Amino acid sequence: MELLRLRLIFLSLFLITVPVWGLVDPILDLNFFKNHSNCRTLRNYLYLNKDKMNLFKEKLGKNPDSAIFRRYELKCKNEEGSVYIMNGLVRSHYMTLLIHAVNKEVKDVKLVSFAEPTEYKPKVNWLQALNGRSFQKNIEIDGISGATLTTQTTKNLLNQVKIMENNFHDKK
Amino acid sequence: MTKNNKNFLNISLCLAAFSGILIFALKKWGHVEGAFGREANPFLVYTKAAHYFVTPILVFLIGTITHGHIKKYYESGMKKNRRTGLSNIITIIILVITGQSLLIIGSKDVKYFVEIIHLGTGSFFVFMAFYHQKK
Repeated sequence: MELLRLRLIFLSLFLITVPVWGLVDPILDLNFFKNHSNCRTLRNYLYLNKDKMNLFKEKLGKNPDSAIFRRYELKCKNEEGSVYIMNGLVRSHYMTLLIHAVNKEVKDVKLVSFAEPTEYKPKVNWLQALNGRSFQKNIEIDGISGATLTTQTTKNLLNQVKIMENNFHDKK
Repeated sequence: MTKNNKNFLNISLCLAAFSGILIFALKKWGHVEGAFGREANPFLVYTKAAHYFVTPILVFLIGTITHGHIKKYYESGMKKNRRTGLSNIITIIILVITGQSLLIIGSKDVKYFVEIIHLGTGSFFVFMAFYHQKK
């Protein structure tokens, strides 16, 4: 009887925790969102249909790696913006950037993950230098000496955000 | 060329070809979905390490047969297997050059183009190396 009760407790705990665990979004666990805890965050993923994909391809010059983009609306007291979790291939491994866009400008760029060797990793001050870039102009960024592919990937990710900000900005 | 030399050469050739093809496949189709998007396959690191370990051994083993096999038969003027032998020498030179270039090329498009040449030449080299032995 005791064993049956224990089994029932474990089973109910399992049934409760597994679905809840599945609902936890690891992106919202990032320090950026913790620092903006006073703002309202809404998940607003962008799914590219055939027309959007064609437009994207036309603007970018090639097909995007994925048809799903991780986008969040960040609604603070003074401003509203979008946060993009952008993922791109550097050489053999991927890097992930968090790009905060407000009023068609780069507000903040943070490095979320970088799987290539650390010597190719973009420095914090280099990423900070991207703040304030307008999505209405061509995005030109200074290269990182010895890390050309990191620079190219960052530029490519910013260009993808530029296309989304200028064409698919349907707010929730 | 001794029998041992030939066996080591064939084993390292097969390992280099297998790891090379696996690297291409894992990079092209093997990416996995992580918490923040795409991630490279976790086996890619080990496959690359295996390829980087085996290929210098293969080049070294080819070096060991240069004097006693390649130079000897080239200078003797023997016609049998001459064409396949010469094509093997040319392909191994292309393989080494493209393989080293892949580590330093800074343009993704050029890198992809060189990757395809490296893969194609590598496959051709494996085929021709065994054909050379069988003939």
